[in-house]
Amino acid sequence: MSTATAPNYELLQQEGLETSLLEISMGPHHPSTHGVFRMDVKLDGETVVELRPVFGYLHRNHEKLAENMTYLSSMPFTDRLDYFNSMTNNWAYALAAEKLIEVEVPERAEYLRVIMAELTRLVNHVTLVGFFINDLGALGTPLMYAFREREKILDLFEQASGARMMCNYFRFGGLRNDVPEGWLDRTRELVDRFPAFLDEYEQLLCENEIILSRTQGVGNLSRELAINAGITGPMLRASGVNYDLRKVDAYGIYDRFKFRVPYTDGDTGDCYDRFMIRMLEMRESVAILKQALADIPEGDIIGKVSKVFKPKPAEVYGRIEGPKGELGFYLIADGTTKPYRYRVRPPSLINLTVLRDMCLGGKIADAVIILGSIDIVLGEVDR
Amino acid sequence: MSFELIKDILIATVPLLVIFPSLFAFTTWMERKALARIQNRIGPNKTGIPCTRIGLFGLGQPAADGIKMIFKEDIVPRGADKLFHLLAPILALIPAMLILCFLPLEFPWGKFMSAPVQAFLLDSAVIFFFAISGLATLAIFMAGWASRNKYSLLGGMRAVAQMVSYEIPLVLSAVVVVMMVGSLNAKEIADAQTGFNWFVFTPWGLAAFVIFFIAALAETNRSPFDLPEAESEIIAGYFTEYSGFKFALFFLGEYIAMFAISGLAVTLFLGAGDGPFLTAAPWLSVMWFIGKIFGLIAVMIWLRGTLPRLRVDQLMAFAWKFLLPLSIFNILLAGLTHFALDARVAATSDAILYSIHASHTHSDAANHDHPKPVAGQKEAVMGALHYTDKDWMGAMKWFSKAALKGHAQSRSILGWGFGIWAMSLIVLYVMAKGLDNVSRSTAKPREYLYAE
Amino acid sequence: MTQEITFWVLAVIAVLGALVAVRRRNLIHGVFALMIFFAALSGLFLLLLAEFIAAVQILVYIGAVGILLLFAIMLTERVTGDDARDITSRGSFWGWAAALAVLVFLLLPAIQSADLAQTTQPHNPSVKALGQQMMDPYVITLEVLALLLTAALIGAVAASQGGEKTKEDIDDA
Repeated sequence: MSTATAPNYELLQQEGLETSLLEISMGPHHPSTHGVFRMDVKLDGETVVELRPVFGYLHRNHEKLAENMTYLSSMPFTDRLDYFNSMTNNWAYALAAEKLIEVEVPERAEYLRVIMAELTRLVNHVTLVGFFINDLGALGTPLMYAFREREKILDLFEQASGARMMCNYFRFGGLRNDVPEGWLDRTRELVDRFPAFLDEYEQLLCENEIILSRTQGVGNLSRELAINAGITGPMLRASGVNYDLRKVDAYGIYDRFKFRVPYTDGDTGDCYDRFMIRMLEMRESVAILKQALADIPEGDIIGKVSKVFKPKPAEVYGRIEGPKGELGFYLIADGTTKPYRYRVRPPSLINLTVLRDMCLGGKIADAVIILGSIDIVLGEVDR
Repeated sequence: MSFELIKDILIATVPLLVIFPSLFAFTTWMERKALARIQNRIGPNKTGIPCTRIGLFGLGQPAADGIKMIFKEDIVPRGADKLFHLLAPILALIPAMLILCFLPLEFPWGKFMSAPVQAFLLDSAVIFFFAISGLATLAIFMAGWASRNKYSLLGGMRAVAQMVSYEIPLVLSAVVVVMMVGSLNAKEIADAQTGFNWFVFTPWGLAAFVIFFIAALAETNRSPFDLPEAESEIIAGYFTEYSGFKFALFFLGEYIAMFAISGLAVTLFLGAGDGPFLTAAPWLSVMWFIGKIFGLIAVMIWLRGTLPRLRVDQLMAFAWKFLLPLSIFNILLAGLTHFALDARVAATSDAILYSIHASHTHSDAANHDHPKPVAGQKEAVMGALHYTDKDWMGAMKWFSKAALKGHAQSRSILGWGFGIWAMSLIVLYVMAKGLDNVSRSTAKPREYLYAE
Repeated sequence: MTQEITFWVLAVIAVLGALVAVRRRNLIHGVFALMIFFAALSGLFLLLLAEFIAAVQILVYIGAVGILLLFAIMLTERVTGDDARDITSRGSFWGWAAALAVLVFLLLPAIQSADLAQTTQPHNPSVKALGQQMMDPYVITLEVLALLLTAALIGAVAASQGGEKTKEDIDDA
C-alpha cells in the first residue's frame, strides 16, 4: 500500500531536494478514461500529487434541447445520457413526467419496468466489473466474459424494443409496446442461468491475489466525505451507508419484492468494496427478476395519455436508483407543451467529484482503477 | 580474412537468424489464438492463402501483420531525438539475437559439417548471457527517452527499474545450477543433465526454476509484470510513439528475448535437449529443446490471458523482499543439502564398491570358497557406478531396485536422499510462506452486510 | 590479419566513443557514447581471449554503471537532456596539456617498456582458474572488499534515511 501523501512531498520541497514534477494530461484520448475525459495529473515519480478532472468534451446541450421540445420528444434523448442504461434513464424521466400528468400505470407495465430496470442493472454492473479488471491490467479476458453475458441481455432488449442500447422503450403511463411472444420465457431462462455465471465470475475474480492487493486500501472514501459530496448508488453503499432508493422511495412496485441491499461497515470504502458491492448487487437483481417474472400479470401496457399535453404549472422531481446512483429529473412546467426547465441529476458527474480526494497520494496506476471503480459514462457526465 | 572463417560464421549464425524469427511468426499466431480461446473468441481464422477462401486457421495472419507493418507510415514525433528514436528498436533486437548464440542448440546438420554449429562455445556463456540480455534495458530506456513523450518516458523509467531489480534474482537462481555443475559453460550444463538428471527435479532446482521463471517474466515485460507497456496506465509505455516497422522490430525483439530467456531456463533447469528416444534419433534433441521453449512460452501466454497487473511498488517489493531473499536462501540450502547428501551417499557407495572389491579379492584368495552374495548387490554396484558418473537418476533407479531386493545400504542411501529432499522442500516452502507473510500487506476477502 | 583489423576497428570505435562522451552537450547522448566505449573495450578484451573480463566489462560497466548514470540523470531536472549551454572552453588548454602530459610521461614509457613481441602467445585464463584463485589465495582480499562494499551500501542507505529524519525532527520542534 502506498503511504506517500501530499504532505510528504511538501517536506521534500522544503528540504531543497525538490524533484521536478512530471505533468501529464491523461486524456481525452486515453485507453482507460472511459471516453473523452481528461485528468491533469502531476506526478512525483509515480505518485500522484495533484489531479484535476477536466470534462465537457461530450457536452451536447441535452438540457437546453429538452426545453425546446415537447415532453415526449425528449424521451429518446434520455437514452443517450448513460448509454449503457437507457432503460433506467427512460424510467427516471417517465417518473418525473408522470407526476405532472397524473396517469395510472397499468400493472403489467409496472412489472415490465422493474424487469427492464433490473436487467439494465445487470448489464451495467457486469460491464463495469469487466472494465474495472481491464483497468487493473487483465488483458480483456474478464471483459470478454462480461460482454458474453451482456450481449445476451442486449438481445432481449432488442427483441422487446427494437434497439440494443438506445431502447427508447418507456412512455408516460407505461411502455411503448408489449414484449413479443416468448420473450418472458427467454428472460426466465437467462435469469435462471445468470447465477451460474456469477458464481464463475466470483470464483475467478474475488479472491485473486493480485486483484486483492491492487484494490484493497486504494481510493478510500470515508462515509463523511461520501455523504457530504452527495455520492449515491453502489459507491455510497461501499462507503458504509445503507441507502437505496428502491427501499427508501419504493418507487414503481419495488415494495412488492423481497431483496436485500448489500453495504459495508464503512471502515474502508476502497476500490475492492466498490467492486464487491456491485458483484453482490447483481445477485439481488437476479432475485428481484425471478419474483417479477413469476408474478407478472397479463393486461394493458400503457395508460390513457395523449402524446402532446399541457400540464398545469408545477415543479416535480422524479428519481430512481439507477445502476450508477440516484438518477433524477427535475421538471418545471409552465402550462405549455414544453418544460420551462429540465434538469438532470447525473450520478456519474456527482460521484466523479471526489476523484481528486481519492487519488492524491496514490500511484498513477491507482488513479486509473479509482476512476474505473467510480463507474462513469461521459454521456451522462457532460450531457 | 579467410573464406573458411566467413563460412563458419554463416553456418553458426544463419540457422539462428532464420529459425527463431520464423518461430516468432508462429508464436504471434499461437498467442493470438490461445488468448482468443481464453477470452471466448475465435481469433484469427480468415487469413490463410491469399485470394482464396481457405483460412488455414488464420496461419497467414503473421504474414499479413508483417506486410501491414512494413507498409505503415513511420511516424517520428517532431520533438523526438531522431537518431535515438531510430536506433532504439535496432538496439532492442541485437542483444536478443545475440544471446541466442549462447544456447546449446545442436542442429542435426552439425555432423555433416566441419565447423561447429553452435556459435559461441564460450567458457562463461551464462555470464555472457546475463551481461548481454541486460542491454535490452538500454534500448527500452533509449526508446522511452528519445520519443519525447511523457508516457514513453514513464515506461522507460519503469522498464529500467524493473529490469535492474529482477536481474538479481534471475542471476542468483541460475547460480544454483552453476554451483552444481561447476561450470559456466552452457554445453557442460546441458551435458550434466542428460538421462533425465534435470535440475528442476531437485528441490533447490525447482525453487530456482520457479524464481527464474518469475524473474524472466519481469525481464521480458510479460504479464503480470508488463508495467513498462501498461496499456491502461501509460498507453503503450516506451513504444507509444512507434509505428510501422520500428514497432514491429520492438515486437520481434521482445519475442526473441522471450525465446532466449526460455531457452536459458530450458538449458539450466529443464535438461536442454534431453528427452526420450534420443539414442534412436539424436536429431530429436533440437526438437526437444524448442518444444520445451514452447512449453514455457505457452505458460507465459496463459498467464497473460488470465492475470491482472501488479503495481509499481508491489513489483519492487516482490523482487526485493521476496524473490531476492528466497533465492539467496535457496543457494545456501542447495549448497548445504547437496554437499551433505553427496558426502553421505558417496561414502555409502564407496562402501558398496569396496565391499564387492573385497569379496572378489577374498574369493580369489580362498579359492572355491565363494561368500554368499548379498541380495541386490549387483544393482547396488550399478547404482554406485552411476552415482560416481553423476547420473543421479540412473543411480536412483538402480539403488531402488537394490533396495527392493532388500539391500540394506541402498535402502539407507534412498532414505537419506528422500529425507533430505523432502526436508529441503519443506524448508523452502516454509521460507517462502514466511517471506510472503512478511513482505506482503494482508489483503484478504471481506464480509459484507445486508439490509433487508 | 583478421585480428589486427578487428583490433583497429574496435580501437577506433573506442576512441570515438570516448571523445563523443566527453564532448557531447546532451547528457544522455554522452552516457550512450560512453557505453559504446565500454562495449568496444569489452570487444578488445575478447580479442585478448579474456572472455570473463569481457563479460564482466559488459555486465558491470554497461549494465550497472551506465544504468546508474542514467538514473542519476533522470533524477536531475534535465531529464530531457537538452542543454543549450556551450561547454565552456575556458581552461580547456590546461585539460589538453594535462592529458598530453599523462600520455607522454606515463603511457608512453609504459608502452615502450612492455615487450610487445611476447604477446603473440596469449594466455587463456579459464573462469574456473579465476574462481579458484579468488577463493584460495585471494579470499581474504575478496572478503574484505565485499565487507567494504556492504558497509558503503549500508552507509548510503543510512545517510539518505538519516537526513530525512532530522528534517522531520526540526519540523516537529
